Amino acid sequence: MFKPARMKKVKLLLPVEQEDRFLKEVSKLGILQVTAVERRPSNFSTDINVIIEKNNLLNLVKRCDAILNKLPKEGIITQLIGKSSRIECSDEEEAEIYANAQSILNNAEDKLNKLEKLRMLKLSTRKQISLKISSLLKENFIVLKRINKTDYLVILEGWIKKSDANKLIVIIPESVRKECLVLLEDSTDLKNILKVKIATLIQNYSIIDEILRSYGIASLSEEEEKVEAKKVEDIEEIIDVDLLKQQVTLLRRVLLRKIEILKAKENIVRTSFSIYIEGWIREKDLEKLVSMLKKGYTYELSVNDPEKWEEPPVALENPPIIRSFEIITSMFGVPGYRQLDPTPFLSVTYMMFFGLMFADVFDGILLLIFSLLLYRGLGSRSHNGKMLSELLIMISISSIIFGFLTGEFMGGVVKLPVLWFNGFEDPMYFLQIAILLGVVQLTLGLAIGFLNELMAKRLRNALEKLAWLMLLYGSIIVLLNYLQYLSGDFYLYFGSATAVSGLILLMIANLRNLIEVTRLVSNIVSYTRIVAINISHVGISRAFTLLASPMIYAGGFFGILTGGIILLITHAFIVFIESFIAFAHSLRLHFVEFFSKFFEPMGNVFKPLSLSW
Amino acid sequence: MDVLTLISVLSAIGFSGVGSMLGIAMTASVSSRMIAEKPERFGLALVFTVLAETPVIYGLLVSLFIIMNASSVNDFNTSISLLGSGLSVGLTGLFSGLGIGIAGSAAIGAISEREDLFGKSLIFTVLPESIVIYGLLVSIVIIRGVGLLGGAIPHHIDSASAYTSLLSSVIICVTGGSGYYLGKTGAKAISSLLKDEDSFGKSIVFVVLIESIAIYGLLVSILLLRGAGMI
Repeated sequence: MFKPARMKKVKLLLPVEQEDRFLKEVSKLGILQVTAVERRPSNFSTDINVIIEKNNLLNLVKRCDAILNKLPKEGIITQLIGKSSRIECSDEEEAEIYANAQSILNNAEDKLNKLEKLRMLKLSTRKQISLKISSLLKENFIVLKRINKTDYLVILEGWIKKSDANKLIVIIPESVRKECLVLLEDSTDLKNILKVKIATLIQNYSIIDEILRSYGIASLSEEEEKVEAKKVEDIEEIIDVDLLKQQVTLLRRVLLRKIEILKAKENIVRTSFSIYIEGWIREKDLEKLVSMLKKGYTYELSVNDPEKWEEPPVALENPPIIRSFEIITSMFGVPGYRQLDPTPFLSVTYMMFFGLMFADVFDGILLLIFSLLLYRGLGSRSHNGKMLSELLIMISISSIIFGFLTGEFMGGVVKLPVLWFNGFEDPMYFLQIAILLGVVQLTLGLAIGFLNELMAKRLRNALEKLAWLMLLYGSIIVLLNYLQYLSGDFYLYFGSATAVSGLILLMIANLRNLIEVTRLVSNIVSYTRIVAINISHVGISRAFTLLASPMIYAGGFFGILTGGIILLITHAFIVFIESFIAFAHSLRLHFVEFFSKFFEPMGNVFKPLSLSW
Repeated sequence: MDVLTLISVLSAIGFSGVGSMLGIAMTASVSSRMIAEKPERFGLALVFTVLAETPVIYGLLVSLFIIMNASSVNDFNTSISLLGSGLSVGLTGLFSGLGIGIAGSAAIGAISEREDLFGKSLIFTVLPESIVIYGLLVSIVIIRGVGLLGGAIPHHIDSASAYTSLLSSVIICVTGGSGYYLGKTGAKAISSLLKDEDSFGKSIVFVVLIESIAIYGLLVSILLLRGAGMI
């Protein structure tokens, strides 16, 4: 748990005809990372055709991407919480899709071209109609599009110049005007032209028609409009966008799976009869590989521990409950194979810092609900999405726990018993807690750094870390003595001697450390941000809750409903903004203050050959 | 509400508002350009744009603290202290907003090329935000010190304590100027991530050195406030 998974170096000899079967089966298990052969036997060579085929497939993937980019995409809410429609297929279907890749792509591109033409046609049709209306209005008073008649009413629809709008009202005789409704609205495509609708009784139609004719009426050829619309419909019928998207997405995944296999093949060397594979496997997975090989393979397998000069790939291995925190470690970089994995330490302190910054039972529950929705949506789409949503679930639980400990519910408007302390009511105590947490985390960082250096047998560096600890704790003892928490000269002399010895050791190790001493102070003070973020969260939460409470207290169905809606919307806003701030600043405290004491991301991530859909 | 208290409210919301406005304007304009080409990265761009909004939220919070208790402010010394509180969060918010805007724009540019740089770019964008958090901390200590937070009865503030509060807020405001330069150096560090991702650890050392100035400012401010009996 505290160190990356133990790795074994695997060297394997197989007959050529078993290559494809082996790669397919091992990729289903997802246990082996095939690496380039370091010392190639003289009669073995790399297959150049594999490289050519891989590049061809990469070009096909680019064509898929280009097609998918042109198709309409899902909205962000659907992407986040909408459940993914998983696309998978059997081996036979996969082979068929792969064989027809070119024709699928040609067909899709052809349809896309038609879609593009459709768009252009729609644009040009609208443009043509607009031009026609403009030209007709130069010579006529009104352009009529449609006349709808019922037994009692007539509705005329058309266009009129903006400058003629007043004239239209005036020219209708007063006797008819009372029984006439004229609606005018701006036209989206045409400047200085208004859409007009005139509704009147059937007996007035002849009078209005006569007047309009005397001023000049033109009608838009409906037949012409219908013909254009028909062309558009024809093309729309041809293209089923969803089906097209599904086909290309599936093809893309099939191609990516083939590319994965080819990448592995690139690293394999061969003769006409046999292939030679080198790679890394987790020690715990070795048994799976051996039992797979025993099922019908002719093989020669050699398994070794990594040599001292070798840097095996790193697979972080943590219990399921804290596995999601690996995403934070990986964001910074993975540790070297022989270094300690900071994830277990980080999982505790990260939850603690986030919980303290975002301590509120109600907001924590809202965040938990959102995280669960995200787990259902984004979590079903990708491995990283699953890890992120699990991480959010963990930290939302932490915020609920710290909400109970600090008695916070909706910014303290709803009273809960305070089980530990309330940061909003007692910020000075909270400041002391924050500083203490800072000292504890820095101590942890320096102690891990000390152990890391000892394990790597770099004694000088290990001593440097020890000197930092001496300086830190010597200074703290002196400070506590000054503040009279520790009384007596012994503490003053002991603290001073420890701090000065630490400082001297640091200077001997590296003079640059003298500049770094001030950073130790700034590192500790930096933890006070926990207090500020907590108080800002509680303050904003309290203000928003007080905004909605008069409506809720007023009672009645609508009062409670309106108040409830306001409460939910405002707290959803808090959850979005404040949880992000707490997340980012917890991240910062770990990356800048904690990791800088011991962690250098020197490792390469273990990427086993795996063909996931 | 007397004139000084009013000015303190205006300082808190006004300056931080200008900072947020400029920060959002910078990040939003880059985001708009990016999502025209890569609409699927809308969510990531939104994160950086929203980050620039935080200074004004802190400004709003301090304004609300003061407004809600304005009726109990009845002497000149308390008003002077509150002016310090408003200035602390307001001016640090201004510098912070500018810094977030500059670094956030660079971060959006970086993730438009490489999405996997999101986490590391986020750290460089969050660094200028620390400045307004330090300002907020000083504001809260002052507001608490004059008895407007936590339901305590207003304390009697003598003129020495009042002017010390104002001085401590001036210190955090001046050192908070580092927020702007944190943004500038953060933006450069983000650009270098595009060239060499391993430069993250070293770049952060340089950027954090600038932030140290504000942390020392915070330390001196807190010690001054302690000396003035506000803590």
